[in-house]
Amino acid sequence: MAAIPKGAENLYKWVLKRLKKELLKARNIACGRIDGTIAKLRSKGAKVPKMTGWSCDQKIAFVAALGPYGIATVLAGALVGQLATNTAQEVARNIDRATDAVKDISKRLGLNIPDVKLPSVSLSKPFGGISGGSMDVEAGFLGRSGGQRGNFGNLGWVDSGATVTAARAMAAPVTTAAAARAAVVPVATAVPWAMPGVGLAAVGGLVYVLFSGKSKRR
Amino acid sequence: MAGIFAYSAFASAAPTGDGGPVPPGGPDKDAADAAKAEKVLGVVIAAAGLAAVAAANFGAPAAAAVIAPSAATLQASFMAMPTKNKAQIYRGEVT
Repeated sequence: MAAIPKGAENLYKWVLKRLKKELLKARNIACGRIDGTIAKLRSKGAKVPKMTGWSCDQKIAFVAALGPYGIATVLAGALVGQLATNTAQEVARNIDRATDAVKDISKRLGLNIPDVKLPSVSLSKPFGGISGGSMDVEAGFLGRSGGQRGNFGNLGWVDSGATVTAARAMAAPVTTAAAARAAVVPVATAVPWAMPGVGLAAVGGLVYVLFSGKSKRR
Repeated sequence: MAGIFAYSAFASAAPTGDGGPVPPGGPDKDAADAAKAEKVLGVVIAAAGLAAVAAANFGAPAAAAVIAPSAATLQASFMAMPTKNKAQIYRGEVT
């Protein structure tokens, strides 16, 4: 393997230092946008952690782990939360803003967020209140159904207590993807746990084969 | 640390009209080093870009989207630098 010239190595260090600085800058911008979006969603009624005291890396890791479907779930929760008080026009405007912000974050984080299908909202009249029931979005995502309070994992994120047509419209793509994800997660979790068992069985089998062969020879 | 001492000793030993150090080979050496740096710059930026994307702890597509324009700007700014500065970077006198 040819040796790298010392000069090229120096140049490499110089370039890398500057590129890392740019990345750091971009990460801080993404972090600020996450803060802004979380604040916006909270103000619209979604129960999202405040993230106070979280590091920038933690926030980004959290949003990245949440994924586009989780983000869509929070959006749907925000929509449902504000239906009771705001006019249709305000709701449409706020959700558009929040969707744009979330999409922007997702893009920066390299997440492939699907187009969240927004419900068709009548702009001429205010919503006449909300009806009770479970919320399909969370139920689909978490495999949990019913109840007035939708839980996002153990975090108790979305507190809506309502089923509305709009949430249902959003729920369909989320639920399908969530079902696939829900099926994958237990397998992915189980595999590392199963590995020692598989290893033990293999060793046990080997021992058995060796010893049984030996005893037969005797 | 040794590099800093070496640099400071080098800088104090050979002052020039503009206050900067003169390398042992003089301006010719600067020009030669700068030319070498320009020659390998493209490859170096590509390698450093890949390393930076790999090291970034947020999504690779996002990191790449940040790196690509930065790399182009960095290349342009390096090419626009005075010969002496390019040579200093190549020799590792400036980090």
